[in-house]
Amino acid sequence: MRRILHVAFLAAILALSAFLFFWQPSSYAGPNQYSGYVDLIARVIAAEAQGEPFEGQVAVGAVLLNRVKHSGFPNTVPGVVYQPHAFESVTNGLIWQRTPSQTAYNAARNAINGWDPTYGCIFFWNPSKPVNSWIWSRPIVRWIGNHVFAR
Amino acid sequence: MQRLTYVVLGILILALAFFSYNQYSARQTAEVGLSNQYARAFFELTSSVNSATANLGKVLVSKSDVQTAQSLAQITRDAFNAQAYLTNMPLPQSMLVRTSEFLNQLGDYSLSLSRATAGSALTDENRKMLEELFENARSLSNQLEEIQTRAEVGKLTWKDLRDESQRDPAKADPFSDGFQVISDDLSRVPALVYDGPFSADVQNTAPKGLKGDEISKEEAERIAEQVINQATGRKVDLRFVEDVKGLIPAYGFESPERDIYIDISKIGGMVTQFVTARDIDKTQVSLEEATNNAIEFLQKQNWPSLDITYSLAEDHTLLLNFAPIQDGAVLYPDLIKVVVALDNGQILAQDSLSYIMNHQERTIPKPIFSAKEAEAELSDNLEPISTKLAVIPRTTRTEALCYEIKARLKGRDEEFIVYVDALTGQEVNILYVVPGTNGTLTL
Repeated sequence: MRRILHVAFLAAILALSAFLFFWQPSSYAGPNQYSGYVDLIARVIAAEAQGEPFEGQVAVGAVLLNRVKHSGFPNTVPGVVYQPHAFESVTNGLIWQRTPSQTAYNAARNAINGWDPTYGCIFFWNPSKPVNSWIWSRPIVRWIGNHVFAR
Repeated sequence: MQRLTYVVLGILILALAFFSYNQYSARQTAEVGLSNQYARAFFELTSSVNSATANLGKVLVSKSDVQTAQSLAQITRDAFNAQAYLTNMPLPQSMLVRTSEFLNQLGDYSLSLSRATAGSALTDENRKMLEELFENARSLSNQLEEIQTRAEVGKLTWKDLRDESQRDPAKADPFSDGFQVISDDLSRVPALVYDGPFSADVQNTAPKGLKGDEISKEEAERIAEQVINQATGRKVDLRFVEDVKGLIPAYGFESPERDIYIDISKIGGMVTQFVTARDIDKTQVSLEEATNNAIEFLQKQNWPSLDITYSLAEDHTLLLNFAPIQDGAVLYPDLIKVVVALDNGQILAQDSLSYIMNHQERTIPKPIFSAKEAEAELSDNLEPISTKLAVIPRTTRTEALCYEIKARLKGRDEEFIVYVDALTGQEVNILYVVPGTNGTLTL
């Protein structure tokens, strides 16, 4: 059973990367290459920003996509989501335990469609939790709810 | 009685021992499996960097255009591979960002070179840059070898690679210390500036479309309240939240119920974006009415005249993309997006970031090729459906005036959008239209 799951998982990853490699946006004006990841992005939003204001949820999705476009991070959505130590909720498995609400999906769609309340941020953190002191050296753009967003 | 107790106890101990052993070996398998994944990533990283280094050397000494093109392609592949494996290392991001930047720029730069120099020789400037990259790639490759020698990566266990925070900072750790040294060294290397998406200057490009005087917070609040009033049809008393210090400095406001957020740019008082938190569960408004509401809504802000370029209805909302038209060409870089709720026709969200970042005075050249001539450039396998003029982003820094030709694969349902340069007649891009799975394409 486990083995089947493993094989299925590998096959899914392969299919995803093939998909990503061959898929192009359908028009300069139309949907983009991220729309296939609405579930994954909504899950990260639900796990990282539940209870945050709607704008803060869009912002978490935007940071994820800004990382994909940034040279300092993996160049794919799954790469960014699963980068070791990148998101606490991925490290501890929370993203697969919590079912995203309709609001999380709305926020994910907004982020995929280009809304970015962080104006290009690549980091966010909750200042009430212990964080790497290095992160405070990044230029802060804004605070939304319990999160600080920085470039 | 006592005997029975001993027997039960004995069975329990045996069961516990069996259970513990099972747990232990399962954990052992999992730990070894995980450290093997990390070790593989490390070795792949090292070999990709070595290969990229060798090919940089080849580019520098080769006299053949074909050999140069091959090596550039190989550098691109190796550098992006190395970047993917690097960002898979169980290390804090602060240690990886600069190294990842270096590898992405190396891959991206050699990709841009192979495009720019197709069939022609490298310029002196290109060579100088490549020499520098060669030096840096070589020292990166040496440092990775050194990490391997000192840390014996293959033997590192899951415990060694565990989160940084659980490690004693005073104790030397050849693995993470090695990556820190690499990052520090590369930080002293000037960042690479060229025409590509990962170029060092891309993240800090100044907005081109910010025009006007700096406005006060009160003035911004008045504009924000007016816009939200037009969007929702009711008066909302917004309150100031904060100064937003991004590339587009803005005033941020929110509604008392904290369901509406809007940013107004400090320069020019433009709506940079707003969002509304509302779950919508039914469609009661026609797409036509929703579209008209969006058009009317944008007309009240000071944008030039806009055309709808795309729309998508999904989840009881309608997303509309607007772009200005100049001399008959759609300006795709300058998009403004609006979302309309299909339960009551109100405006839910607006995003003018692309417009504010990219809009500028443009001189649009007269097309040299006609639409008919451009269509004739299409592959024989395609039949054109519709054609229009459009300005598209060509590279990170340049734009091109193109014919956007929507075409169908002959005898099939598949559709493509082909961009043919209106000045050179060259095909510059092809997009595959993904058949709509979610929602309906209405335009």
